[in-house]
Amino acid sequence: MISNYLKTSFRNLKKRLPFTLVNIIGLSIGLSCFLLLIAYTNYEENYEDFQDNKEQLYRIVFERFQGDELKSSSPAVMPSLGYKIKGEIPEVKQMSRFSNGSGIVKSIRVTAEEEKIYYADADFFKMFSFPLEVGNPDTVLENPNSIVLTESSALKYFGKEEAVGKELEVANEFGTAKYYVTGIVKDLPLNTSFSFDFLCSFNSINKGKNWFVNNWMWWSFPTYVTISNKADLESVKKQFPAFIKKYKTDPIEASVTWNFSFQPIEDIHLKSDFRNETVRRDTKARTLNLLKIIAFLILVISWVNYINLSTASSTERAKEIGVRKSLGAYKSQISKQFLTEAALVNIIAAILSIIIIIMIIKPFSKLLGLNYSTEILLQPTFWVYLLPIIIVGIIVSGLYPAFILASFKSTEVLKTKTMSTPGSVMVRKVLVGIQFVISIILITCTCIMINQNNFMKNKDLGVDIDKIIVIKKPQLLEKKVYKSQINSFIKELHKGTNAKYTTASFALPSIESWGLAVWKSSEDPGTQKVHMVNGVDANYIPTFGLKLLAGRNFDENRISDENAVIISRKSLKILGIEDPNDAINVSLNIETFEDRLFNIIGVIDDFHHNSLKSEIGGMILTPNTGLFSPPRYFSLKLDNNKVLKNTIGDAKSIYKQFFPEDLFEYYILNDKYQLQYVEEDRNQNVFTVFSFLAIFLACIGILGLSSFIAFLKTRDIAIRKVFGADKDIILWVLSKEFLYVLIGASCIAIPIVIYFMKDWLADFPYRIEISFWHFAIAIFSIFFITLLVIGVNLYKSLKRKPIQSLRSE
Amino acid sequence: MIKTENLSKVFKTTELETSAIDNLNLEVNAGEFIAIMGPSGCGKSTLLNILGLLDNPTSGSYRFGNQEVSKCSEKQLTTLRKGGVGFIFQNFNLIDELTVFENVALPLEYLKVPKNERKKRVEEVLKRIGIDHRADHFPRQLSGGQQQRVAVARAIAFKPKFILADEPTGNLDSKNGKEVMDLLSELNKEGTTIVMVTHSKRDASYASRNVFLYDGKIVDKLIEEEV
Ligand SMILES: Nc1ncnc2c1ncn2[C@@H]1O[C@H](COP(=O)(O)OP(=O)(O)OP(=O)(O)O)[C@@H](O)[C@H]1O
Ligand SMILES: [Mg+2]
Repeated sequence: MISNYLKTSFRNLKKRLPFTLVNIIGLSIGLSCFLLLIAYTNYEENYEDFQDNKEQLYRIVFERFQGDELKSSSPAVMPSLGYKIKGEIPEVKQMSRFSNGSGIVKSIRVTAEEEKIYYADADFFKMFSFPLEVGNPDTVLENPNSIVLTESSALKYFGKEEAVGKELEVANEFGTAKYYVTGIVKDLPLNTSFSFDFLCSFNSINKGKNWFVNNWMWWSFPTYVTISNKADLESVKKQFPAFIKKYKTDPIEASVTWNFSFQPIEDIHLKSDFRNETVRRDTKARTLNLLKIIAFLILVISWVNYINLSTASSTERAKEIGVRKSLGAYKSQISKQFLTEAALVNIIAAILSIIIIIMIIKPFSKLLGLNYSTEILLQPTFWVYLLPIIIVGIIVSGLYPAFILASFKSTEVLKTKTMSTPGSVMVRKVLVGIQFVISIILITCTCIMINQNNFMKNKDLGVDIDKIIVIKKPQLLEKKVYKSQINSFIKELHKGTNAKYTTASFALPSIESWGLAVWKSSEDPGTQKVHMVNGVDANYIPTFGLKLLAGRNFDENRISDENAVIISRKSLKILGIEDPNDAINVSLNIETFEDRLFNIIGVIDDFHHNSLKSEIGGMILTPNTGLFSPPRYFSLKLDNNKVLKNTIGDAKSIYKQFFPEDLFEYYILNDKYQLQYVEEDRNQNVFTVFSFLAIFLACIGILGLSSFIAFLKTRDIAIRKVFGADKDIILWVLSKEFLYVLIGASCIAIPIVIYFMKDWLADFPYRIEISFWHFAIAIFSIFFITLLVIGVNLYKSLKRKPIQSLRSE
Repeated sequence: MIKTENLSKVFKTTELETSAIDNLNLEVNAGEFIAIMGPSGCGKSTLLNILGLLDNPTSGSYRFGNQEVSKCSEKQLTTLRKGGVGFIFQNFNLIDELTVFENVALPLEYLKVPKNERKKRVEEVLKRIGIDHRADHFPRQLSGGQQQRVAVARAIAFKPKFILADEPTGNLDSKNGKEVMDLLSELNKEGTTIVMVTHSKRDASYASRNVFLYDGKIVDKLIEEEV
């Protein structure tokens, strides 16, 4: 029996080949988009899923409160915390700090700058499931000066030779030391927040330094712990206040409350949002939800297409069904026939979509700014999704046509001229309406995103980041040696290149500086508020084109300028001063510079140090001393007509004269600054691509409906032609029907878009307003596409002699 | 006004070639009222469709006014038809979604007759044909005879110079049939050229000339039984 249905289905599908092809293509595009997006979101949501102990692993999060105000929150804590917690709180079974020390790595063969050098404790490989190729997980990080390499870095530094036991030199902020390779770890999977190429034993840096054990004021060591179960976690939390009280003894922090919490490692990737996040993090949960919604919408569109096309084509078959029924076929037999056809089409489409996915996975992951490959397909969850989707697809897309067509009354079908009930036209209009709604939503959202993105990129930043080359400070040199050379280096840099301005600074636009508590010396320290404080020199203001509103710039020749500050308009406001001129000579206290008083010598206008995604905060510039010494970046500002490349060459040779051992590292500021919009760019790309796909799929739907309507209207058109109607009038008669559907769809789509995009835009402190134009673009483009599709579709029937249409009843 | 020379129409289906019109020569002068008679299937409707520019001949020439129709583009045909030809179909061909009024108003609309004028003319013709009380009804709510009258109203409302009627009284009782015939003959007197297909001798008697068709050819006279 089944084989009988199959045979008939094949014959039917073959008979209407163009229709079948359109159907299969539409469905497989929809399916591949859906599966790709779902596989991707699923992948992102299952970060750390492979960790055997994932339920027991936590990262310690550190928050500091001044009264009710959150002063800072960070996943980086003091080095001593992990050390003490493991000894003093028995429920903490294992502990590893995990802190970065990027620098220069040297083997006999290769010397290179490396970002992903980390320090971890001996427990690390017992806690986390990163399998070792060579080495014992219990001991590889036990001894000082041990280093574990990933397979790729072993290959890079030692080639095919056995790396274990060999020597590597690592130079970074913790000094320069020789390390011995104790293990090789398999390259890390992509779905983990951890990302290291080198892992050194933590005791290499605190070796012999009691300081690490007792330091409670150096907060830059992310710390992970293993706690066996929830009950233990509760008990750890109970013991914490007493634990903190014991060690929080520094008077500087007396007025501040410390709070520690435990973040499950599975939450790190998507659910945490610290400014100074220490792990790789490039996706937001919100983006993933958006993608899931798009995936679902696209799938719906393609299902709707199937329903639309198959009912449209089947009205042509209504007569056949009517005859069959009059000859005694059961309704269920006819339904089964249609379901079999739907199943066949869906399965073929599914197979095709897997081929499509394999073909487009590379460009797709590029679109998302990632380097995923077919490994996404190897995720079991991918296949878990596929099967139900096919089944649901068959039911959704096959049931309605089966139901509708099987319930045609044979007498009606045989009698009526148009073989359609008014209801079926209505249903079809609703289906196309759904597609219109989805298309309008996607196009409008895309327009708004593009608009917002361009707005952020084109808005006046208040700071000039064009034609600026930034050179990073040398890594290898001892601080002291480096410090002594800075002045002559920068002078040489200015002389030896065609830079207009040259400046050395601790931070610069798009790179965070310290957020420090600042208060007026004349007021109570309790009034302190956090400002961003940056260490700069006298050329910083001209280099970045900042606008001085009052007072003067730093002057290298005035010794007193050591303690001078220039503050931004926003800082002025935070400090409660109205007029910039009133600020001059006001003295300030700055946290960690407790013994010094700073004197305001100037006020600058606000500027976007960071992207427009964050609000402008208070900004204070002070000379490169204390915390801010030595400077980390050298910026060269060129005139607009100068070529960057020549300057880079000149700068490099000067750098090599001063720091011959070091690697010359530079970047173009504007490029780096725009990198802050990676996520927005990516969303924009994704939306653009998928809107186009949605429109394309919707076109198939329009094609289906318009050919159906055209079919219903051939007689109508012919009669009108007999009485003198022109082509355009006829086109209008048909388009009118779509116009009503489009208007209806707009009424539904507009509030939905406004609701979601208001929310989306609310995340941006500097944002555009949703305007009439965003909708107009979407609605008009859909309208014109519809006209086009109808026009193409009708071309044939318009050309026909009217009598042919009138005859064919 | 119109003239055909050696006009032929052949319908080709996969199995069969039907010669519906066979080397037909016919001339109709302006102001004439012609009745075409003949047995079922002899090609009357086919001829009428060609004369009404709805279909093109397989071979031969057809001059409409002084235009050679076989050389006309679709656009020119539309122009010729527009306002020039009123067609009454054997099977009415009313538009289902439009009311009686709208159906009749359609050709006027395409001729861009102003709205008020349109309303006046449609109402007038509906009244004349006795169907004005049904103006707001849809075709499916009417009887066959009523639908036929609407079809007649539609063909005459825009006062074409040339009316083609395919059995305009086929569905009417003798009283209504007579009214329609009176109307046509009145129009003819006003100067409209009419070509009508009919099976009824009485209707044919209204015409100024009768043409007999047999197997696609014009014949002198038909044997009584075959009519
Ligand atoms: N589209 C077509 N395809 C094939 N054959 C056709 C077509 N139209 C008409 N014919 C054939 O041409 C011949 C003439 O048909 P036509 O409709 O002109 O007859 P008629 O004289 O109007 O008949 P009736 O009085 O029954 O209306 C018939 O034999 C018919 O079968
Ligand atoms: Mg006929």
